[in-house]
Amino acid sequence: MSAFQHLPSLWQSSALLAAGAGMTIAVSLAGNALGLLIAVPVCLLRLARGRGARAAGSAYVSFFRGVPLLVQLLVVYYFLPALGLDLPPFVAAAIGLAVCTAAYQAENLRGGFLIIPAGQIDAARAFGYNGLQRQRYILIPQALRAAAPTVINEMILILKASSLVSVVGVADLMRVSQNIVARELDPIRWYTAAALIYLVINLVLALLGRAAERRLNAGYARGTL
Amino acid sequence: MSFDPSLLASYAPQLREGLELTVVIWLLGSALAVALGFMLGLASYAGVAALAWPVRIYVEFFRGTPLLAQLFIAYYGGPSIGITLDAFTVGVAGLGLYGAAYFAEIFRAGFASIPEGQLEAARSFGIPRMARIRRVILPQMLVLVVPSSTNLLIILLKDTAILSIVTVPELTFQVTGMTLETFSYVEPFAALAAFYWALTELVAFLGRRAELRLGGYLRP
Amino acid sequence: MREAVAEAGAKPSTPPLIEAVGVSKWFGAHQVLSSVSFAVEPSEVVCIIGPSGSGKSTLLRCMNFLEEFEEGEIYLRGVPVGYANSAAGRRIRDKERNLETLRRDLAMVFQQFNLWPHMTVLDNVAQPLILVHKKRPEEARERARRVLEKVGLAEKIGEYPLRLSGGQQQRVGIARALAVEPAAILFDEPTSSLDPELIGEVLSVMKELAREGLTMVIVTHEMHFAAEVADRVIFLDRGVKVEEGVPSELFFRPKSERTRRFLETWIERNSLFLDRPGTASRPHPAP
Repeated sequence: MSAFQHLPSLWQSSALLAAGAGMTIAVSLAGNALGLLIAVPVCLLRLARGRGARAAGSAYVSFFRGVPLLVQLLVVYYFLPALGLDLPPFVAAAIGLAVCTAAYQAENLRGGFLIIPAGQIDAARAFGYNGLQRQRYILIPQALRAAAPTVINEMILILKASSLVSVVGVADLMRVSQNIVARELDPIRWYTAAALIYLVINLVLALLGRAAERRLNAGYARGTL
Repeated sequence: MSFDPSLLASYAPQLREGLELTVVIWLLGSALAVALGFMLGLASYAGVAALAWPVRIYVEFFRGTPLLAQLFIAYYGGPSIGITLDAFTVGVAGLGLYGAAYFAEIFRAGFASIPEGQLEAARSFGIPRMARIRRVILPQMLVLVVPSSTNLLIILLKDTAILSIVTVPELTFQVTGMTLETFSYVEPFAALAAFYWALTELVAFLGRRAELRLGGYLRP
Repeated sequence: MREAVAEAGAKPSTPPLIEAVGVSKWFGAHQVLSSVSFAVEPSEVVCIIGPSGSGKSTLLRCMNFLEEFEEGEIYLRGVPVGYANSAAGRRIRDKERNLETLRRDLAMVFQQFNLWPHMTVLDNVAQPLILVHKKRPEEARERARRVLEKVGLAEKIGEYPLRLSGGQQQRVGIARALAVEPAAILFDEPTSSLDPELIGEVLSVMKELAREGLTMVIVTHEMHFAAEVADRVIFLDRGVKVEEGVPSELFFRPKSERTRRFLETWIERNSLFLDRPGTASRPHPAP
């Protein structure tokens, strides 16, 4: 990396900052993807018929929404090696983000199901749809559409939350800016720059999110749903 | 991986101090957030032209950037522009300014949700603006904002843990210090997690009670 | 059909299409249906009227087992609905699979339309044919098109339900019910959610269907519709079948005091113009 070291230090730092931003986006994406995967079974537990299953789902949601993310990350970071899993910090952080966001996403998905008017299920039953058909053709398509805004919103929130992974050894935007400040000694400039980068990425994601929502609802005038 | 509960006893004073600080900072920070957020929300709703852009920029910045970055700017950046604050002040102010941006939106939405018809009726009876706000809007709005406010208060409680990163000696900071000295990590942090869980459940419970008490007239 | 069970419950002559015998239902401690019995013959139009809370919709929904009932039996073509009698004579709830068979023969039109908003009008009508009646998709869509044309909505087949007016949505609901070619269609207050000016288009479709001989059981508040179209009218009050009869009898010479009181308030509120000499209690303007 000798070419890099010859750049003026401002350029070096900016490049590092960009790399940090990339890492932030990457760990957020990983956390979101894994989180949605976990959210589905948790949501099913929450909606289950059995009281035990529902209680398990509620306990999961309550715990992972009730404990600070920082503490969750610390637990995951130190717990995984105790299980014999020697995972790189990025993976541990992604897992930590995922189990946390899964609790919120499970509730968002559940909200999508709850908002469906009972009459539509009546109609499906009246016309002879069996349980699987009701889920596949009537309930799930609408639940996903209804939940999309909150799901997308939560995915965007993970970006800011990911700033905490700097504490468990991931070279994200916060950690990189800390390293730069240690060298350059200009905390206001670099921490503000990092903050503004978060802001810009957030705004871009918000725009993308709204565009995605519009496409989802194309032609489908939202009347009662 | 053995954890000696008697260690807990020896750290009890620090843990208690940490908990006290957590609660104190949470309460002070939340009070600041509610007060400032209320004024911002009111300004936003009332449409005061001169304040529109400053409020907007404030809210966008504090909601669009991570709390951690804000704390770093205040705590590590402050001295370079001549403002040296101790960790406690940074903690309260940081939590308060951050929370205010979110409360601003909650209050603005609360103001806006009062049906226009009620305000028209009040105006047509000649009731002046301040009285309209005090008698018609505020009482109803309080009920409407309780659920989202409780939510936000719980979030602020959880976010006090982040203050540990800027050396505020609250609960998480104390437990982290303990693990560094005892080299036992999982159980203390797991216990810390369980403790926060209990705390947030308690606040949520109280919030639901408040909701029920205040919202009686809405139910048929 | 389940022959063994049919033997136990079938009558020697051709059974009525739908028959309810002593149906009772409770919501907790509150009894919503008290031993209601009636029969519907093929091609009959039966209207169920009564005040709010009388159990009319509940009774209708028992017929296709959207609601369960604690006592009594309902038969569709002589076959019991929803419950089977075990060998010991006890009542056991039927399997879901058998219920689905039942629901192929009955279709329902709902007060809130209950169209599926994420599908086009065409798919709303065609999908039950494909999923439940196992028709091929092209055949199902063709049948759906024809039925939608019949109710006057041919140009709307590509639209999404929420973009249609209430009257149009309900006509789609009727088309959806017609498409499955049921033995009978159950109408649950089909016009109660409509703006007044949209009620007419739905009622005229229903009148046409009645003229064509469709078996219909209609819960309704539209008394002049019932008077004009029904073969029989049933008056339900607080879960009890108070009276049953042909419209000319029930509307103009009600036997029960309760029926009379119910019709009076209705006539007063709605200026019901009954064009039979000497029947109007006071002169009414023509509708």
